[in-house]
Amino acid sequence: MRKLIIGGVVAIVALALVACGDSAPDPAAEQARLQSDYWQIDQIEKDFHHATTIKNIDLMMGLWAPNATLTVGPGVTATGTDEIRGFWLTKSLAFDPATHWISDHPAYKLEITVAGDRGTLHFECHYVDYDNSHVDVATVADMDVARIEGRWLITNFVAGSTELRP
Amino acid sequence: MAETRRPLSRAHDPLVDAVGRLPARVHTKLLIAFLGTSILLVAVGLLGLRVLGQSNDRVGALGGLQERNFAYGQLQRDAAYVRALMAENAGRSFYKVWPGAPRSNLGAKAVAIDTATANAVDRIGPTTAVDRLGFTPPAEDAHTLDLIREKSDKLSALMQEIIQVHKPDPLSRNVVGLRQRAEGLAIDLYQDAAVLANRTTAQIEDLIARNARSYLSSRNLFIGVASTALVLALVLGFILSWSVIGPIQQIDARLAAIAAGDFSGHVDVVNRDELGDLAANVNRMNDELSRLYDELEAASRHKSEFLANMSHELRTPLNAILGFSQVLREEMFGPVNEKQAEYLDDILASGHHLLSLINDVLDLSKIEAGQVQLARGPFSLREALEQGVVVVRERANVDGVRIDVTADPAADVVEGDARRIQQVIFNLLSNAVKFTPPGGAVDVTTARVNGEVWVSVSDTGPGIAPEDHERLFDEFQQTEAGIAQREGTGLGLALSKRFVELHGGRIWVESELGRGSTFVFALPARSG
Repeated sequence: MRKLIIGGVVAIVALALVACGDSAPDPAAEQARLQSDYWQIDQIEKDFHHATTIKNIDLMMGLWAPNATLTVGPGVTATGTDEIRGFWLTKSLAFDPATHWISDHPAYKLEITVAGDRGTLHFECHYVDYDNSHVDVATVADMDVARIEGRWLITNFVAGSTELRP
Repeated sequence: MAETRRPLSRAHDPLVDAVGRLPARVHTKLLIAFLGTSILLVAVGLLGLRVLGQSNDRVGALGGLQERNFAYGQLQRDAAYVRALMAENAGRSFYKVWPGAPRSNLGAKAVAIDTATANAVDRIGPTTAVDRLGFTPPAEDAHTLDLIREKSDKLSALMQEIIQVHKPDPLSRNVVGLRQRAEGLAIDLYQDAAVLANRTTAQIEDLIARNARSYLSSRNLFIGVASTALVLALVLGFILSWSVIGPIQQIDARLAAIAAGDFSGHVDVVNRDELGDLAANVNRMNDELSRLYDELEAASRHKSEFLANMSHELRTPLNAILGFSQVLREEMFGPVNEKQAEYLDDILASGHHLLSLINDVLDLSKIEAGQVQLARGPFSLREALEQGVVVVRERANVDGVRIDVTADPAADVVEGDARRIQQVIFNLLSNAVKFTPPGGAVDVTTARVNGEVWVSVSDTGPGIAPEDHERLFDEFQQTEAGIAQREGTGLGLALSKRFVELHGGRIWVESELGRGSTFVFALPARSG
C-alpha cells in the first residue's frame, strides 16, 4: 500500500513537471520553416509559368485553393476553381492553342512575403512568341497565398498588364 | 497472551511510528495536518486563479489582435481595389492577354479609370491614422502603416499627375512611364497592407494555438497539483489517523484481554502524546490489577480451604452430639422425663440445623475450590421430582399445603448429576412449602423449551420484591419472610445456583409481592 502511494505521488509530480514545461519555439527551426515556405511559394510561380507555357490547365488549377478568387478588373471576378478554370480557358490567351508563347518571369522582380500560414506573391509574366522571338505581352499578378492542409495555394489573384521595364 | 495485530491495522508502520514519536499533543498534530491541507487547497486555488488570469490576458490580447486584423484587412481590400483598377490601365496590352474579360463599366476610358484609381488611393492614407484605426498600433505595425501612408500619398500625387498629362495627350509616352511608377507603388502598397493583415492573422492563429497549448499544459498542471495535493492530504490523513487509531486499537485489545482476565501482556505504544500517556496508564493499571487479582485469588483459595477444613472439623464433633442426643431421646439408656425430652429435641433440631449449615458451607467451599466433580449421567427428572416431593410431603400435609406435579414426558430424561439436581429440587420445594401459608398450593411443572428442560416450582406464598430477585442467589441472603421465620441458612439458593450453573444451566425467579413466587431452573436438554 505504501509503495503504491509513493509511486502515485511520484507519477503525479512527474506529470505536473512535464505539464509545466512549455516548449519554447526553436529560432533555427523557425528560420528553416520560413525558408521552406519561401521555396514552396516560389514553386507556385514556377508551376504557373510552366502551366501557361505548355498550356496545361490541370497543372495550373492545382495551384489554386478551392474557394480562391481571380480578379481582372473591378467587379470582374471568378470565384472557385470551376469558374477560374473557365476564365483561363475562355477569357485568357495564355491557354489559347493559337498562341505560341513561352511564359517567362524576371526572377529579380519576384516578391514574396510570409506571415504564419499566409503570404503574398508578386511576379511578372513575359509572354514570348517563340515563332518570332518577340515579347507579345507583359502582365503582372498580385496574389494572396495560404498554407492549406500543409500546401501553399493561391487564394486571391489580381491580374494586370504592364509595360516592359527594368 | 501475545498481542494479536488486526489485519487492516497500520500500527508499527515506520511513517506512522515517526509521527507518533513526535513530541507534540494530538491536538497540535491535527492542527498541523489541517493547516497543511489548507495550504495545499490555497495553493490549488491560487494556481487556478493564475491560470484564469493568463487565460483572461490571452482573451484580451486576442480581442486587440482581431480589432487590428479587421482594420488591416480593410486596408488590404482598399489596396487590392486600387490594384484591380490599375491592372486595366497600367499596361496597354491588358485586353490583349485578356480579350475575353468584360470591360469595366467606366466608359472604357482610361482617364475614368485613372480618376477612380486616384479616388481609391485617396481613401487609403487617412485610414492609417490612429484616430481612424481606433487603436494604437504596435511599433512594427506603425512603421508599415507609415510606409503605406507615404506610398499612398506618393501614389495619390502620381495619379493626379497622370490625369493631368493624360487628358490633353492620351498617347503620351509620359503617361505610360507614370503608370509604370504608379503600378510599382500600388504593388508595394498592396503588399504592405497584405503583410500587415497576414501578420495579425498569423499572430491571432499563433495566439489561439498558444492558448490551446497553454490550456493543455495548465490543465495538466492543475490536475497534477490538485492530485498531488489530494494524495498528500490523503497520506497525511492516513498517517495521522493511524498514529491515533493504532494505539487506540492496541489499548482496546489490551483492555479486552484484561476484561477476560488476562494480565500477561502490555501495550507497546511509541507515541509521545496523550495516547502514549494513556498506554502507560493502561500498563500500570494492568500490572496493579494483576497483582490485586493474584492476591484475591490467594485469599479466596485460603478462605475455601479454611471453610472446608473448619466444616470438617465442626462436623466431626457435631455428629457425636447428634448421635448421642438421638440415643438419649430414643431412651436407649433409660427413660427421660418430659422436660429432658423437650431439651433433647431442641438439641437435635439445632444440631441438624447446624449440620445442614456446615454441609452447605462445605459444598460451597468445594465448588469455589473447584473440587466438585459432577457424576454425570442420564436420569429421570420425573423420579427426582417425586423423591423431592416425598421428602417435603409430610411437612406440606401438616401445614395444609397442596403439592401438584405436572411432568412433561418430553422432558423426562436429562443428563446430569442426579444427586445434585435432586438437591436443587429439594431446596426449591422445601422453600416453597416453607413460605406457603396453610391452604396454599405448590405446583411443580417440567417442560421442554427451546432446547432446554425447564423445571418450575410455584407457590402461593408472600412473594418476593423485585429488588431481592438477584440478591436471593447470593450466599447468606434471605428475604424478610425467611428472616422472620428464623429458618434456613441463606445458602440453599446460592448452592442451587452453583449446581445448576455447573450443569451449564441457569436459574431465576419470577415473583411479585403478594402474588407468590415461581423459581425456574433450566438445564440443557439431552441431544438426540
